[in-house]
Amino acid sequence: MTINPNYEVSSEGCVRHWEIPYASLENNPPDATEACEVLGTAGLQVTGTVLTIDAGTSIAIVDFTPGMVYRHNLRTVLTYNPGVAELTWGTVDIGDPVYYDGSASMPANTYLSLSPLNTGGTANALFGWVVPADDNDVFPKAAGVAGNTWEQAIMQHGA
Amino acid sequence: MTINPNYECSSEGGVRHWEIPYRSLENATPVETEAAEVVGTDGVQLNGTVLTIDATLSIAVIDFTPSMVYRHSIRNVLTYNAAVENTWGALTIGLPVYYDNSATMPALTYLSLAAANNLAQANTLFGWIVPADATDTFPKGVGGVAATFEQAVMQHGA
Repeated sequence: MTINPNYEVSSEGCVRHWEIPYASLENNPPDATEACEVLGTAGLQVTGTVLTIDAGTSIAIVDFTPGMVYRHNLRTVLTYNPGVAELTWGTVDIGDPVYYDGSASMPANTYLSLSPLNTGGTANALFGWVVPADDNDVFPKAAGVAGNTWEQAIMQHGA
Repeated sequence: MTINPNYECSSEGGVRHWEIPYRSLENATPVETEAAEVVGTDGVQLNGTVLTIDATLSIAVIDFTPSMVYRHSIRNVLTYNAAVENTWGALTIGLPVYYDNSATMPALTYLSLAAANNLAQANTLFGWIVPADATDTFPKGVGGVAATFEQAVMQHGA
């Protein structure tokens, strides 16, 4: 595909896989298949899904394609008692917005939640929306008395 | 294209068609070709265009592909007052278009120029006005006069 070098850096396809150094990711080092976020202005970070990693060069290939659907761990936390811990939790339903949440209170290998703010009161970036993985995916999924973590299909917002 | 079922649900193409149950849509009786919005948090809902429906299973297939261009009905309302339309604007290229679930919207019209609905709740950005072709002329309508237009809209999608 043609690329106008004056302003265009990527090819014209709608799929966007891009190399990002580990040092520019919220979670350093990343693992393949996990949700990731590039360091930036709170609430406006670019997010995607790690496809592969190169531990030798400390570079991850991230899928930033809007609309891609991946399964990710999703925490049901809605709000935090700022600086302390999770405060409220919500059920998971189709269409719920999902945020990249770097709160220290998140379970291991879980980077997404229903909370637009992290435990420090800082804006989380929109990562995507809850969608059914297939026809057998049942909703709503329980919030949990003290929170739940679900493996859930997410349509990512991407770049 | 291969899909790793452990974590990948969609194929790797940039086009995204996905099944959504009727009950999860703002308009729970969707019709093909109309704008659709998934029920969610005001102002950040997922939206797209209905491609097909399965009335037996009550499932709609929605095109969530960013930057797809479809013709949709657009109401030129800009603001509401006391739950009714208050001001109206002309349509020009580049104007943001919102999914508007106001009860005052004409039948089969789900998009408007209003960033908030008639109950002052945030509408979600649906896309932007673009020319359908080289003969599409702008502006359409005039400020202060209510109207509904069929208009090409480049959708924001997912």
